[in-house]
Amino acid sequence: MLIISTIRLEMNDWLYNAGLVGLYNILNHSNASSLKKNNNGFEFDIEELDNFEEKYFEYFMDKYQYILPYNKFESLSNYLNNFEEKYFKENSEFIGDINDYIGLLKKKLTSNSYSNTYPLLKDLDIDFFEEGKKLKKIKFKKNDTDEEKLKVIKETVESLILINSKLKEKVVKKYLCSKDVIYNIINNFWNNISILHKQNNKNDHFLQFKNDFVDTTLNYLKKDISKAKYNCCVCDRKITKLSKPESFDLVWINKIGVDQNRKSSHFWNFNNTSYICPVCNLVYACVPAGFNNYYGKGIYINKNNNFKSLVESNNISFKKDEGIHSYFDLENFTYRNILNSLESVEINKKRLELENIQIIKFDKENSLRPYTFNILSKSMINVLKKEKKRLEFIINKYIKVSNDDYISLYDATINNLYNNSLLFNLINESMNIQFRNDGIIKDFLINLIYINNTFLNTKGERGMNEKLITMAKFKGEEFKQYYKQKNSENKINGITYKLLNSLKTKNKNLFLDTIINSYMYLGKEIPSIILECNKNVESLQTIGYAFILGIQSTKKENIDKGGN
Amino acid sequence: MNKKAIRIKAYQNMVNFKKPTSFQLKETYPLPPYSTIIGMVHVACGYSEYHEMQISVQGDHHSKINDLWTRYEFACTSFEKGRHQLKVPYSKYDKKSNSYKENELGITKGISTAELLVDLNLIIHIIPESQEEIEYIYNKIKYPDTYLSLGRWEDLVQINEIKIVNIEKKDLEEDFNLEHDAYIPVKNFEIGDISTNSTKYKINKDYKLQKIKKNVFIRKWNKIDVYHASKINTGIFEDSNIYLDEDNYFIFNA
Repeated sequence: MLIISTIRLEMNDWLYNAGLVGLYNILNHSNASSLKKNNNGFEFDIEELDNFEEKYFEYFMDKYQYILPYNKFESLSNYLNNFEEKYFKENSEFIGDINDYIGLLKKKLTSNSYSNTYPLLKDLDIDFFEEGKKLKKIKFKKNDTDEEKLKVIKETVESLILINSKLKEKVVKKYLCSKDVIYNIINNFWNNISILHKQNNKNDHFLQFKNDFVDTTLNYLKKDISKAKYNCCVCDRKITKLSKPESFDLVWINKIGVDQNRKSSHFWNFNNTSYICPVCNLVYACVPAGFNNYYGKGIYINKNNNFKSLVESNNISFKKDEGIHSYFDLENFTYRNILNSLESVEINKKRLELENIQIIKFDKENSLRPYTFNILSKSMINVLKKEKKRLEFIINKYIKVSNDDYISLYDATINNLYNNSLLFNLINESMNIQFRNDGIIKDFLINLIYINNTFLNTKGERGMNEKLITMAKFKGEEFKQYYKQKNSENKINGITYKLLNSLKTKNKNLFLDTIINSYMYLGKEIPSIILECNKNVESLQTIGYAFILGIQSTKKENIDKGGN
Repeated sequence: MNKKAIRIKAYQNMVNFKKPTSFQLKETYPLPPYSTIIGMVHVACGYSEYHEMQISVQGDHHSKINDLWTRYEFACTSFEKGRHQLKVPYSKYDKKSNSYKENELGITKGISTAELLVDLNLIIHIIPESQEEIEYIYNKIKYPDTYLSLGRWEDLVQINEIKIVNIEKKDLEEDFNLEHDAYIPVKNFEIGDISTNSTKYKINKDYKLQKIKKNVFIRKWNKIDVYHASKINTGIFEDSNIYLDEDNYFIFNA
């Protein structure tokens, strides 16, 4: 007999909330009819947990279908049609692509994660492991004729088509693709138990998940726990025993739980009290579904004033045409999501002030501290809102420091804004690097100056009118033209260098001296915009950098060349 | 019978009230939980056993930041090179040889992050169950033997005003908006008495020791469901039955 028929879950700290969002997403994706959101959380009938293991993996497989390795193989089949035609048309490119696929396919088919799964695919008349081993990249001998070459390709393509048709089968997809999910997404967040325990890697992971998470939850809910002595440390539900499968610890969640035996100083009197009930255990297992993941990086917004907005601000689609091609796209989409949800609220409630919103970023590469926490403050939201377009514009802009070292402007800008620091250092560094490398400074850096100015304005009204920045840049362009007319172009680089240095050291006198000297040499009137530099350090830097950008601008030159 | 309470207006610069499940990042509650305040009162008064009391907390903070802290982790285990950063000498009594045995224990030292509330202003009401204690607690908090802290031991509390006030249960004559953020216990109100759009917490109040093994006790907490009601969007409607003090401050006691 079921004692509890409805599960009601309420929000708690960020990780638990991420789990809630994940669980909600999974159930919602499976069209659970009894799923109901309320202010503080959501509720659903216990029947929705039937077949939950299938729903769990299906959610990931659907959401990340363009990211998981398995799906790359599926898309291969279109490519293999009409291979002869393609070969003659785009000869070397076609071979290169095929070889890339072969490399990837070979690696995956012979990998441990896949080969542990093959025994579970019983009725299959193909040995993926052997086929994978046999695969060879296409190589030609020196004296091969076209016919012979085609023969080689044909053989390879035939075996690829065979493998591919088998890979497409429903059962195969279910098992192999879900393995990708486990090792590409889930293991970033938790590890070492259940489907990710080393001893279980040959077991059916669907069954394993069902046993460890779903069944324990169902058994728990069916049990009479009114006389239980202990309590779950998260949700305060009663638990009968402080050991599995009646209760669980938090060690399995990467870098969150602590080792209770070796580090018991975290607990009162060295006795661990942080045991969680099976329901919370299931919620924590859904944490990977709460984050939006992109190749080992993830982002989650804990906008927890009500559950609806929490789900909304983390709802990002990874469909092909949605345009998520990099982690920065993902980040940008996320911010847009928050901003959109804020805007709709603000219309209803003009009095609403912005609460602090917690942003959690996940990075697999950072093994010691995979989670970084930031708080989206009012000023940050304002900047993001006002500078939406400019931020989007710099997403794919990089500054080349050396051959394999690049600064991503978007990343650096967002990080600076987070830390509440001005962008002047970033601007100076970018300009300096570009100037040293190519002797020119790219025009798009003007976006940073505008963004920084908006940031200054939201902080304490120390910024200036944007028109002044545009004007400063224009005066810089003019300045360059004057030098050209005097045939002293070679002096420009020296001046730029001097100006950059004076701005870096915030040396107003040196900056003005240089400018006054130059204009005296030119015999021209000093533009009034330079007076703005006297206001404060921020104005000096803003005007100064815009002016330098003008001097080094490539725009005018192109027009000149076109004219000639 | 009319009751009395001690009202404290306090200020804290940067403070952390740790959530129980946060180990790696010390997350903070937006206001001190009841258990933290009860703890402070007990330390101030030198009580070694629990004295029943009710607490009401209201307050606003300016913002939140993250800061680094030094983390020490240990379990009184022997020192292992490569695992532990600190070595501590330790002598243990050995029954067999009837002497002290020298040993070295290891401690892991590292850094971690803590969330801190900035510029927190608090209004706290303390209502002791036995009302005779009022004067004693008042004096002990006003003239403490050692400095008072709320949160971590280093989170000093600056008490700006302390006053003994009369409190009275009243039916509100008109709708009110909150003036400060507050913990409002869910059970204090009936549905329809309050409109709020806020996060719910289960926060600790007091505990009883519970034996789980021979010589092993854990604290079994009495948790209270509260709204963290924000002053922006919380209203209390007329006819609600609620405690007010003599200066018309709300009291959300739990």
